[in-house]
Amino acid sequence: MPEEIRSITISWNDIYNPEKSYNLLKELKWSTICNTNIDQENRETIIDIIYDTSNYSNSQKSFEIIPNEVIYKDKCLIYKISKKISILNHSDALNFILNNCSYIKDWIEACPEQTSFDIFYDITTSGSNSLGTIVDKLADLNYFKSVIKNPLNLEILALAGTIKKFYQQTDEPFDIHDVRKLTKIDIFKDTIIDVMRNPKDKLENYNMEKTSDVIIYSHSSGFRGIVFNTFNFLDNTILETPYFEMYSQNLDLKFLSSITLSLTKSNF
Amino acid sequence: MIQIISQTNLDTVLFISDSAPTFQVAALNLGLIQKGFICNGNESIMPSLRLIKGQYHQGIQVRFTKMDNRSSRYVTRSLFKRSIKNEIGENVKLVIMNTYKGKSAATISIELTPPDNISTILNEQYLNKFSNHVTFNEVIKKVPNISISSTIEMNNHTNITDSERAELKNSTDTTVYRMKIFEEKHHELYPLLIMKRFSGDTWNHTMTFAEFERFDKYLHVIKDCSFPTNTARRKFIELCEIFRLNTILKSIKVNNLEFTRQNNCLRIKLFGITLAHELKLKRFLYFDHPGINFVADFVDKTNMFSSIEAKIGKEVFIRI
Repeated sequence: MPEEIRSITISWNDIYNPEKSYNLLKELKWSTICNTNIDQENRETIIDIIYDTSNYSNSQKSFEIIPNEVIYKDKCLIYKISKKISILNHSDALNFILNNCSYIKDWIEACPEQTSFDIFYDITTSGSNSLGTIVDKLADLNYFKSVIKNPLNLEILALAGTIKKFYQQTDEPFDIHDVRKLTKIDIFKDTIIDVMRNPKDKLENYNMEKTSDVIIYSHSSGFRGIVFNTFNFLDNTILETPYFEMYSQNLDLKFLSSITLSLTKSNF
Repeated sequence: MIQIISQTNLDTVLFISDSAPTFQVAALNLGLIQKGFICNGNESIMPSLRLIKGQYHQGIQVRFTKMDNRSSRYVTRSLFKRSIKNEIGENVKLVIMNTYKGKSAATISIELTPPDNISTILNEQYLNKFSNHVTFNEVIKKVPNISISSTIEMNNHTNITDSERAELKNSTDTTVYRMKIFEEKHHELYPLLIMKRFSGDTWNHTMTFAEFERFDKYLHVIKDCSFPTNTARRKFIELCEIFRLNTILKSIKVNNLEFTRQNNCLRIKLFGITLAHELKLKRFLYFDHPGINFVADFVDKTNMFSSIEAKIGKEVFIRI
């Protein structure tokens, strides 16, 4: 026999607490969600559920717990963090472009409204995760929040995202897949910013090489014998080209390549 | 210089100096083939040094033998080969083959290997006109080998009518003329073949003498091409994007310009030379792609924009 409807109130702060998040997932795993109600004022979400172990497959409902931030879907909690960045608000990144990359400068001047982009990170926790896994994932999420609060990190990400948007001409967000790769940038941010401020000294004689260190790999174009090289930075595709040599003098790509290479060697 | 060494009813032995132009050597071979004399490949060719008018000339001695009608002319085999290095260091290899595909024919091909250092023959100022952002370093400035050929039908010359004979002479003369033009002006291809590298196609360039003749007809426009106007560049890139994103047409050819789409990739060819393979083109409104800038200005200078738009519109309309 199904049980009666009962309400659970989720405080928005609790959803970032690993233990409470873990317990919520366990509770919702065997429940059918009947109704949800967001209380913006008290920063909490009220869910009406029926506890029913026989009704496992019916409890797939998706709903928002924190608007635009945390959703419950397919028995998982999905946490999303998105921050809109415009290079126009980041002076070091902007000066790098204005002084060294005339083509990106021309694009920024022609379409300033198109230069902003979202930096995005998400994690998914499910009822099958152990408490330890949820602790790690939420720690990554909190770390990402701290990284994007730091203005120097934001200068680096603003530059990388703008370079991506210029070459890709897309509205896709700058997606962080592995927050641990940001850790090294965070540690070496002062050195990286120093290179950003004086790029010619450090990068003029830097040669981008087609190695796994600078993450350039190939895929077929569909035309026989034509292969595209893909230049990635923090797992984002920055540039796809059949002839990388054409861009080999671009200081923007040299800068990103040197960061990747240096961080791979852990020696900036 | 070409000199007769000996001549009988059965064979003719000639000395061909390295300085003899390739088109002349090809014309000589074709003329002799029509008269029933062929060179039988390596066995009939040997290196030679000859004293003519008090001066030694390096070259080859070639025996042209009366063709035996019973011998199989219906197989593909090499007839004549000559490989020379000219005064500017280009290696020019002339190959004449007997080919048979239903009808007997002769294929004349030139394989041209540009010298490693092309600074003396390359007009670098011309190349630099198309991009403010790409540096033409030594890696980029490498010109690929050129392989150019033409096939002439060779009917059984003993039983042909006068009109067939006239047609054969006409096609031979045309080929020899095209070879002469190629020999004189092939350097004009070099900047475009360097730009071809930006498409990712870095292999040998294969073309026909007819394609080169079309290229030659537009040479005055090609030489005049420069950095395109902003309007021309924008218009050309918009047209490219329209074609790349269309789901109806795979390929379109307007005069000597060809667009081909494969998955999301667009290929742009002009005079058979691939000048771009790209997945996304909008960045080239700001970053100078030499090949795209060149084609944009060529299209603008030859007033081809409306023809391209009309052709795309017509082809789409037919297929809907």
